[in-house]
Amino acid sequence: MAINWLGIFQALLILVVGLVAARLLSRTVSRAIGKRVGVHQSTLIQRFVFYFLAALIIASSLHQLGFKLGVLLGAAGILSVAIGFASQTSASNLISGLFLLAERPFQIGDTIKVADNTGEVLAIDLLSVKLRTFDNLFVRIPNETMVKSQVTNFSRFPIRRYDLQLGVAYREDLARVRKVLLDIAERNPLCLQEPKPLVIFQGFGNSSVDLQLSAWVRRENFLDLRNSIPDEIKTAFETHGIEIPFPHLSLYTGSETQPFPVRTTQSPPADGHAGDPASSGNDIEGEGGAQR
Amino acid sequence: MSDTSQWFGQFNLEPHHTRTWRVGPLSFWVNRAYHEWRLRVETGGDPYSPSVELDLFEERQADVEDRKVQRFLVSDESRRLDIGLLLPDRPIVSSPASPVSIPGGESVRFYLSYPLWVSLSAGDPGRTLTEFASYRLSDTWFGPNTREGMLCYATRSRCRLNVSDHPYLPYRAITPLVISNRAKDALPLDRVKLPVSSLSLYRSRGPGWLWTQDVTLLRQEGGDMAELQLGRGAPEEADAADLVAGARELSPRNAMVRAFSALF
Repeated sequence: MAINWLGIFQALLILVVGLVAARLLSRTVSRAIGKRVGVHQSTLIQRFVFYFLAALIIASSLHQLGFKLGVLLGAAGILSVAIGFASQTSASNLISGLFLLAERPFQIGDTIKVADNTGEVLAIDLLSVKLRTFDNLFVRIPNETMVKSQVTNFSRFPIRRYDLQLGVAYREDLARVRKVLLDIAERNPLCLQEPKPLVIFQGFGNSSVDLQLSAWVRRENFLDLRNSIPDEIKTAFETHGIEIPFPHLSLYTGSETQPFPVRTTQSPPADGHAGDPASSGNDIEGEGGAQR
Repeated sequence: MSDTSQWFGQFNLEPHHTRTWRVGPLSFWVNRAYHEWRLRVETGGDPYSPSVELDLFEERQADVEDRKVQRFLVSDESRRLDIGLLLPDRPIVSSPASPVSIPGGESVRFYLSYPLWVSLSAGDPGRTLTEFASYRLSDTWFGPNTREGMLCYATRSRCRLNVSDHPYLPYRAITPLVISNRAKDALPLDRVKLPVSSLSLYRSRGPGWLWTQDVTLLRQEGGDMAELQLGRGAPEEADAADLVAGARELSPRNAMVRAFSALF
């Protein structure tokens, strides 16, 4: 049988030129609509246009080679069943990817958390989602995992709440503490005035009365607020004499014994702190906290 | 004291000279170096301080070590420096310092004041170097819930009905706000949103006060939506006035806006 070199050449020409043209056309369409829709949608449309054109080009290229497309499609149907059984994982990822595209729980550029991975979405492909974590690692998560996992999207809403847990000593006036905390939130320009910041009572802890300061912040300023508020609280508490207690430990050996005597010996004044009154002889006692 | 309202406008700055401005809570200096302008801004002083101090001195600055100094590199050696005033870049949500409500059928005119932004341009023709707030206002959210709404700046207002009660502060603008409650029920004024980025800034020729055109909010029956009407030109209180800065963005002259309350 004579080989139809001209037909092969024409088919190759259609394939190469067609694919290049499809690539250019899909990019042009994406750029044209990119200003009106987001990155996510324009990427999706670009891919859809490219795959659609590529399918047409491959079909016409095969037609040029003399294949009958009806027979090919029938064979492809049988083949796809066989391939489907052989590649269940890929098929599952593919279908999960379609669900993800339809459901749109996040978009390209969003910051999401999946299991232990938090990062920016680089791409949502048919088989996987690609993330760039904040320590600049590339993470590929299969779409099937994405569908099964709990996904937290940090970029969906423009504002979010920062919750800071803190404890104050039992002797403190809680109304005063509450006022100091709310004043801090009001003075910090990053902290939104509305919704109003809250101080929530969390419980009587082992060593402290536990509170939560909840302040709303613009999404982009979240890290700045998270870093600035604790500093301001510490400074304000020091200024107002409010104690942030830490767990205290009292040693007690029963009612029959006296507190353990501890004596220090005068060490040579090598570092100039030998006369520190805090290091003079004292019995060990609890410092006001709960005795356990 | 010299005319304190003249702290903005056109200035000349010779090479290796520094001008300083201390205007209320804001202080900044600009230094003209060889093919560059240097700027250092500090805010956070008393937000109601009326003091204005300008100074000029010769200073040959060596390499910049201070990281708070911004450098703007330019090709020309023009000495012209323009200090402009702008209205804030986001709407302002003003909450009355004490509860205020307007009975049904009433129409009141009161005054809201808020700090302005400063813009720096250099050269001839002027090229914008930067802009910054004379006092950093707190962020706030205005909308029906935490998902829908917009970021604004927050201020507290005494809702003064008499303009003469307002202290003169040369870095703050005053907007006359008319609220007409056409509903039968009283309107509790928890907060009101002022679309300042759609307003223009004027300076009255006499005393130098800074004004925007007046804003009218017509509250209809039911809900928190209001019809927004912006006045044309400086308000009547300004008497004769010159335009200082146009609106940052255009807005429809009559529009229904959510102006009074956030619903959460």
